[in-house]
Amino acid sequence: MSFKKFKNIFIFTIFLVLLSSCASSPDTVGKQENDPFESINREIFAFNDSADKYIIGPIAHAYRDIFPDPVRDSIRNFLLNLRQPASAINATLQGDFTRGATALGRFAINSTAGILGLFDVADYIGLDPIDEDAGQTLGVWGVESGPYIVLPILGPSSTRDVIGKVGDWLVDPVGLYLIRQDQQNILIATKATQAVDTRVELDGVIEGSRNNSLDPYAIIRTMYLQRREQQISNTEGFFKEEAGEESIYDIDIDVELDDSDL
Amino acid sequence: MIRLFKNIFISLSFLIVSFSSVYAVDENEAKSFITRVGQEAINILKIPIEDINQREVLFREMFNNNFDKKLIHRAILGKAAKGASKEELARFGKAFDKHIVKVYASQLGVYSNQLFIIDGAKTINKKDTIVSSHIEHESAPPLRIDWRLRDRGIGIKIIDIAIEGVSLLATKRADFGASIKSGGLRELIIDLETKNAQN
Repeated sequence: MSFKKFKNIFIFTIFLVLLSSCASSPDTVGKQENDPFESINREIFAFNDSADKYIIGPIAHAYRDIFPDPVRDSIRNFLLNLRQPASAINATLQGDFTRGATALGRFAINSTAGILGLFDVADYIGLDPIDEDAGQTLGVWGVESGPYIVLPILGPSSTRDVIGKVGDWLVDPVGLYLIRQDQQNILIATKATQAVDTRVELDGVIEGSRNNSLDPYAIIRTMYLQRREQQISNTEGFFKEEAGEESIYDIDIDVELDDSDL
Repeated sequence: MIRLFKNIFISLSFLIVSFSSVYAVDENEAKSFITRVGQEAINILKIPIEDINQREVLFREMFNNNFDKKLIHRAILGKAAKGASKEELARFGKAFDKHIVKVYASQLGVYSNQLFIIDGAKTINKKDTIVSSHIEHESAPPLRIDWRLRDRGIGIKIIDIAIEGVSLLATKRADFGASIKSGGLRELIIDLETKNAQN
């Protein structure tokens, strides 16, 4: 298949995904969350849940139990450092030149003084970690998240973030360098380790939603969408002033409630 | 004459209650309040995870004293609260509070020299003040926690918490949505009570 044909399929797919992002949800449960594919999403979620319970979770727990905290911290630092060039590009594309420069500075310092990123020296001198991806860049540019999607194994996402994932592969200098050097194995190993490390980080959330909630699917969906919204806005805090829009806090509580039995 | 006095008294009481609920919590008071709540939370973290009963006792006390439970119940139920009887709302409140205490008393983790730091407070509208804070730990990235406070005449109370941008109130609303859609408030109560019995 020629490169031109690939390009056309890619553009056509993006067009379809963007088009579906504009569609409104016919589902009443997911009305607020824009989840028109809820039925199929729930099936994929159930598959992922089983895969997590019997394969991914145990691998993550073994990784957590085998490697002591300092070793896992260093691995996490190393992986974060590899993402800094892509974060620098994304922050710059978002118009946030300060964070872009910070990410580059962190990469330079941690790759050298931090011994290939194993130690986060930059953090000690006040350069906070930057983690920006192409999905966030699209969000800053005004692209709506679109329908919620659950990807097999990869988990929660949205149409915008699926495009973002493709973008991340295209703009990640470290990934492109490894591919050019014919070092795909290293690239795959870093991605796999990243996935396991993320699973360890999310262990409380995943196990908590599985054991304590009435509807783990809905919990994970709302958590993912809220978290992405905050990552895109980069706001200092989550709660923002609502400009005239009705929120869940707009209960005329003083009229409706009787506090006598508090 | 007595009736006139009574009417004036009722009107004045109404005005006082209304005014007391209009203004948001003072930012400095809000910070002091959350500093105290944070200390209570740290005291719970210091109890070994095995001593779950003691954790639950202290967590229930913290929840009862510092959270506007009635408002939280209504906000979580949304439209499902309309038309519900007082008994149903009370039964839901009881099941929900038990659910929260059971879940968070065990999930809060243990204390390992974390620092709870208040970053600031901001009044965001006529009713609500947000206190921003974070937890620092030497081997973990800072954990951002925002507290939404309101005083509707019963003292300063927490009405929501957002951890790293995820609102607990919105999350619980989502969690209960399917039960409510399937069988209304009644089914939600049964599901919650069943869950509480399992845990």
